[in-house]
Amino acid sequence: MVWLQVPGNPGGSFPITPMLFIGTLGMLLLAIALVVFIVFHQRKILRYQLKFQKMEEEQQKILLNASIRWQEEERQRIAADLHDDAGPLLATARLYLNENLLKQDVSTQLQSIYNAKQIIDDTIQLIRNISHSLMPPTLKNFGLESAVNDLFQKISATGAINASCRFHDYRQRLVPEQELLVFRVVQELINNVLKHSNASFMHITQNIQDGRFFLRLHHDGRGITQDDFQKMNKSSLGLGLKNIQSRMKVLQGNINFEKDISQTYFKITLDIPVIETELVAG
Amino acid sequence: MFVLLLDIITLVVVGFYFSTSKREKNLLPLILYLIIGVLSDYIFNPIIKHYSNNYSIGLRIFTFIEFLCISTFYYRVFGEKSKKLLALIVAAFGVFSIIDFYFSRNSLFDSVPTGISSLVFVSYSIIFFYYQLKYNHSTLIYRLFEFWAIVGVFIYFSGNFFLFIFSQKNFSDPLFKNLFYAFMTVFSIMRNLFWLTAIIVSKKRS
Repeated sequence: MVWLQVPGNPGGSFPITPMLFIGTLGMLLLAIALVVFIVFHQRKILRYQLKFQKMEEEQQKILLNASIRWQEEERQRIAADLHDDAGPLLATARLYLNENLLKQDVSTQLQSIYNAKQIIDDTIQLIRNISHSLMPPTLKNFGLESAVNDLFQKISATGAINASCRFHDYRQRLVPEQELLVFRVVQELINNVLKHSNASFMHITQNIQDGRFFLRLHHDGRGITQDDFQKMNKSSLGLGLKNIQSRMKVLQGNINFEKDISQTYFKITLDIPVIETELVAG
Repeated sequence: MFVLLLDIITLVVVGFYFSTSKREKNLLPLILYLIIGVLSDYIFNPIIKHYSNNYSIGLRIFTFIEFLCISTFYYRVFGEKSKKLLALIVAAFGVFSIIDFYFSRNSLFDSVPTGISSLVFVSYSIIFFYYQLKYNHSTLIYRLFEFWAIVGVFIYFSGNFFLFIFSQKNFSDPLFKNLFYAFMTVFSIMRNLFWLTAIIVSKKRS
């Protein structure tokens, strides 16, 4: 308490000390400087926040447009497949099965019926393929691991690339919605590898750690880094990559593109939180 | 003349606050403090001076009321979480003021309690500014009436701090006394103008 009391002048008359003026002026200037700093600093923070919000909104718009464009392209592809393939096949089958068939001899009738049956079988297979590409039954019935294995086996069977996959820990399945989204992301990534990278091998590994699901795709072709991915997402290019980003946002997960330390291959890592678990029988 | 100006501004602030029905309740403690200040200058202190040689009792009581009113305002700004802590600080200040009066009853000015109250209110103001910078990401700070009220308190107490701590040993000197009232009046006018701004901002918001 004593230090707060400044001693007076025992002689009687108070000398106007500079200390009082300097102290008061100093405190006043400090107070004003602090208030001015706070006002301007907060304005700067708010401006930055607004700018950041606008950038996020722009990015959301780009992703939404990309998603809509992708959906339209998918619909066009399905329509084209049905119109260009299934339509003519069924029309040809119809030609074989007309009223004039009754006037033909038995062997010609049998031949026409056989041809029509063959065409109808081909059409059924075509429609089955279209349906599987929309929603693979293996994914729904047996899970992500089986669907990805299936996909990789088909790719390997073409002989164009050596594709393999290994799931280390998939006893607990992801929820169906997550499995579908992850499968679509994997499909898109594989499409990109096949189309653009010129890779000779491609390998997927999976594991679960600390409540998070990790999927890593390695390939030895031309790849992109995380910087390239982010640049392409901000531009009008890379429709597939934008769809990947949209799906990862829905999954609340992360995707990372990088070149391995040994500089020999590219690695893409998907990291997703495990929401619900479903024990796989056996 | 400055004292007259201060009184006029005080009346304008109080009058403006009560002029409309849409009053900001959080500013009420500050308005009460202004009213009590005017009453103590013109009524209470002369009565105390008339009946007692030592009118520093009036000053000490006023210091405690000032501490209580402004602490109540800060409690309304900071919210329920600060209730216990602020109440504790007010109680501790009250006890301290009584102890200080016992040990320095003959002094003409209560430097130590006023010095401590200055430091406390400057600290509260800095805490308010810190929380605004950290958590307020939606409204410009100068659009809050609390900001203007607290700037008034901040500038008043930081400007008067050295004056308060010099006063106890020098208040008997007429030259110092004149200086004291000059500084005090100027800072009081500044404080009242900021509080008037706070009332205007609160009315605009409502």
